[in-house]
Amino acid sequence: MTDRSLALTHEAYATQDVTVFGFWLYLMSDCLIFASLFATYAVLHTNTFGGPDARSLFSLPYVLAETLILLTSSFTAGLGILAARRDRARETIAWFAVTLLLSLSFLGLEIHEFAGLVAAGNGPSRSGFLSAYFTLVGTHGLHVALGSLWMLVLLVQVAFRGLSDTNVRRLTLLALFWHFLDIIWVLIFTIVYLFPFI
Amino acid sequence: MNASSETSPGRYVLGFLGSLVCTLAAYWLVAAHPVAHGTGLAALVALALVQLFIQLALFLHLGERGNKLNQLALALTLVIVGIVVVGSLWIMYNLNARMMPTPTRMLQYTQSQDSM
Repeated sequence: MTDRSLALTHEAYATQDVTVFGFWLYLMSDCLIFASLFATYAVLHTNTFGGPDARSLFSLPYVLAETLILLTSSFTAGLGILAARRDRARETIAWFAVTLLLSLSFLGLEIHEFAGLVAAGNGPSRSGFLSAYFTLVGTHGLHVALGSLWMLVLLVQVAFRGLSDTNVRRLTLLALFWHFLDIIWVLIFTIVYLFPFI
Repeated sequence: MNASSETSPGRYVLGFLGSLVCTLAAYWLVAAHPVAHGTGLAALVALALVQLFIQLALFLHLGERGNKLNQLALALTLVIVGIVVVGSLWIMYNLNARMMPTPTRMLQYTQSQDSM
């Protein structure tokens, strides 16, 4: 087993730490965006304007499936980054390909859910509650979609150029982003989907 | 999180299993209704917080040495998040409570006062 981090020069290490810290600061600012969207949702969730409320719209087993898929994808991204640190390109590609498949199935489920709501006349313009719901969950979905695109690009990069220091750094940032999105989803799952049913 | 030398999947497996337990427990609380509303709500919040902690520690490696600045940034972010969320709810609740009632409501109120 060759440990990639042993092969990194001291300088490369330092650059990586600064980059990771910078990316962490970006994640924190993203956190603030989600905080304001959560606050908006918390204020507006009772304003259904005579329309359906959360209880009558959401299906719990469906949301549980979305949650488990996203959680598993966060796990496989972690395994992918471990493989990258061990300098195993094939294994890295395999784990991130699994992660990408899981994230695409999550997106498929979410788009299907949104399309069903809009088709039933319960789109974002129906009530304050639904505007807040679509903005909050949609913003998370947009993050997942952009993350999937990023993952696809990195898979191609690793396939053609191997696990260079730069590529390992990029994968590290992507994995961070992915774990962060799963943490946001835990909050969405609890607050948006579970609270109305308790 | 940092360029950690850690290469064993142990932490990720532990984090995954822990998160899985929290998620399924929260789902069970809502699907089976084993406890009263208030207790259930508190339990959901507790389970979400435990899962956040598990993922921050085991997936994002926030507890590791050399992560002081990251922890500081997170702490500051959480303060702002608290101000934004609690502040919004507080102010909007107050504004809502002080809203002028609709004419029908006012009529009902005056009638209830008259009949006393």
